[in-house]
Amino acid sequence: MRLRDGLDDKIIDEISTLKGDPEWMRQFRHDCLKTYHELDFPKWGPDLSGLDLEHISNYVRSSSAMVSSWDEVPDDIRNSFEQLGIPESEKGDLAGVGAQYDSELVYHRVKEEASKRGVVYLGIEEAMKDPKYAEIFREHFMKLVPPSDHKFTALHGAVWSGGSFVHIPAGVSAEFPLQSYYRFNAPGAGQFEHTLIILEEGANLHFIEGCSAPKYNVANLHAGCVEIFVGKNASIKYSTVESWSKNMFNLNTKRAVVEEGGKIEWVTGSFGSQVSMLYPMAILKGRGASMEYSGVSLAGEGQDLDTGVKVLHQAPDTRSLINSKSISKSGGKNTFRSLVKVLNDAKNSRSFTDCASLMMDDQSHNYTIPVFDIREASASVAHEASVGKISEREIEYLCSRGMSEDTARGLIVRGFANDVSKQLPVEYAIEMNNYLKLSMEGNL
Amino acid sequence: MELCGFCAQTEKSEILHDISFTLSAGSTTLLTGANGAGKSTILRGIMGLGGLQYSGKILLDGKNISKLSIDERARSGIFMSFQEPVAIEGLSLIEALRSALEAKGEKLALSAVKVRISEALEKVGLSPFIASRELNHKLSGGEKKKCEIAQMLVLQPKLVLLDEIDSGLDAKSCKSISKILSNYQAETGATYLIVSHNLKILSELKVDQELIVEDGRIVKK
Repeated sequence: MRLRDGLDDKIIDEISTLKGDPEWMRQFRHDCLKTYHELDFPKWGPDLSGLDLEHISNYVRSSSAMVSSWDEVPDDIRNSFEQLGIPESEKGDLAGVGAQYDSELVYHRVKEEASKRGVVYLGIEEAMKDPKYAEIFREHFMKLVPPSDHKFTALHGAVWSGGSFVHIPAGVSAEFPLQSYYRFNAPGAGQFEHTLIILEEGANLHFIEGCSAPKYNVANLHAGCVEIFVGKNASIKYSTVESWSKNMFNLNTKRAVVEEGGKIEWVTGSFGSQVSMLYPMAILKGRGASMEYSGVSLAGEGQDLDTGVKVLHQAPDTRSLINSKSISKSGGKNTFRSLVKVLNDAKNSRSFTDCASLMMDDQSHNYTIPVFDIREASASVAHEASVGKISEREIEYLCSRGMSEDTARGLIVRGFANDVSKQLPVEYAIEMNNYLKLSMEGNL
Repeated sequence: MELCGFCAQTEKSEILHDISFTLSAGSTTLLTGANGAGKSTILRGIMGLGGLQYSGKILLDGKNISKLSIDERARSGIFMSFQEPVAIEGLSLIEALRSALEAKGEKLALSAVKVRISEALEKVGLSPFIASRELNHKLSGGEKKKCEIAQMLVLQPKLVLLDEIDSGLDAKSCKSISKILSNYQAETGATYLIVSHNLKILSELKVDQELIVEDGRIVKK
C-alpha cells in the first residue's frame, strides 16, 4: 500500500494509525509537522530544487509483515535481498540482521548467542510498543537529534517509519556485527527509518548499515536518522556502505553522544544518490571521549555529494581524528565539509583532520570546506588538505604492466581509498572496492 | 624487434630523428651516449609512453605495434624497467601484479600470485613482505630497481627495456641483478635493450650490439 503524495495532518494521522503509535507519538508527529512547515530548506549546499515534497509519498508498505525467517519473506522482496547477499552474509559473522523494504522492516532477527548475552536488536516500532523498552525508547527518541535541527529532521519526526533499536547492556561486547540493510523500491517516495542505539557502560558494538535502490526517473528522498548513545568506556564502530540510485536525495542525519572514555568510529562509503547532505556528528561529552571518522565519497556524472563530519569537544582530553577521501569523475561534484568545535575547558583536547581529494578529469569538481572553532587555548588542532588530479605517470606505469587504462585508474582510486576500506570487515571492504570498480567503469 | 625510421617530437621540435635498428631475438643491446642524447626517449617510445608524438614503425615479430596502446604493447610481451618507478598510494604490489597477470589472461588466486611474487622478490634480494606493502613506497632507489626486476620475473616478457637499471644499486647488487638477467635470458630467450652509464650491470651479460646515441640520432652501431 502507498499513501497519497504530500504531507498534511490527515496523512500524519493515517501513518500513526497504520503504525499503531501510542498517543504521545501521534502528538509528536503532529508537532514535528508543524516545525517542518516553519523551517526553510537549507540556504547552503547542493541544489535541492529537484525535490518536490508535494509529489513524494512518505509512506509505502509492502504486503509483507515483519518476520524472522527468510522463507516467510515474499519471493520478490527476498530476491532483491538475495541479490545483495544479505541472507548469505547473515550465515557468516553477523550477530543479527534487519532488512527494510520501503517504509517497513520485512525481516529482523538476532542470533540466539547474542540474545543470550543481553544484546537487544529489535525493529524500532517493536521497541516503542514493548513495555520492557517503551520507556527507554521514549527517553532517547529524537533527543540527540531534535526535530528542530533542520527541515528534514522535522520531516523525519513527522513521518518516520522502520529502522532498528539496539541496546547493549553494561560490559557486554556484541562480538559480531549487527547489520541493517535498507532497500528502497518505490518510485517517487521517501524512506525515513530511525536507528536508535544505546550502549551502556563498557559495552561494545560494530553496527553496519547498507543502503541501495533501483533507479527511477522521479526523485526519491531518504531522510533517515541515527542516534547513538555511547556510555562510559563503551565503544561503537558504525559503518555505512551507501549505494543509493542516482535519483535519490540522501538527506540523512547521524549523531552520537559519547560519555567519559567512550569512543565512536564512523566509517562511511558514499557512492550513490543524486544529492547527498550527510555530516555524522559526535558530541564528546565525557573526559577522554574520542571520535574517529574515515570516509570515502565518489561523485560521478550528475552527482552532488556534500558530505563530511562534525565533532564537538565538550570535555577535557577528548580526541578526534578525521580522515576523508573524496573522488570526483565525469563532471561529478564532491564537497567535504567539516566542523571541529572545541569548547572552553575542553583542556588538552586533540583533533587532526586530513582530507584528500582526487579528480579524475578536468570536468569534475572537488571542494574542501573545513571549519575550526577553537575556544580552548590548551587544545591542539591540526589540519591537512590536498587536492590533486590523477597522475598520468601512475596510469602509464600500471599500463606498462599490461592492464588497461580503466583498470589502472580503478586500482589507483581503490588505493587512494584503501585506508578507509580497510577499516571495514573484509566482505564489506570487497563490496566497497566493487562499488569503486563499477563506478570507475561507469556501470553504476 | 625492429625500429624503422622512428621519430619523436614535441610540438616545437624533433627529439629523435630517423632511428632505425634491429634487435635479434635473445640478444642484448646497449644504448650509450651523453645525458639528454635521447636514450631513454627511445625506450619510452618503444613502450608508447606519453608526452611526445611518435612516428615510424616498431616491428615486433614482424608486426607493427606503433599504433598499439601502452597496455597492448605490454601484453604483446614488452616490459620496461623505469628509471624512476612511481610509488602508488594504497596499492600493493600483489594487487598490481594480479591485475597485470589477469590482463594477460592468467587468472590466478591471490595466494598463487603471492607465492610467485614472493619468490621473485627473494630472488632479487628483497623481503617477500614487500609484496603486501604499497607499491614502491618506502623503498630506496636501489630497492625500487630490484622490485622492477622482480616484476619482470613474474610477468615473463620477451622484450625487456632497462632504463638505468643499475642506478642506485651497489656493486654487489649490480652483479647479482646482472646474473639474474643472464639466467632469465638463458631460460626464456628474452631480448634486452639496456640504457646504462655503469657497465657493471653487464658483467654477467654478453653484449651483442652497442648503439651510440647523440642528439637524438644513432651515430654508431
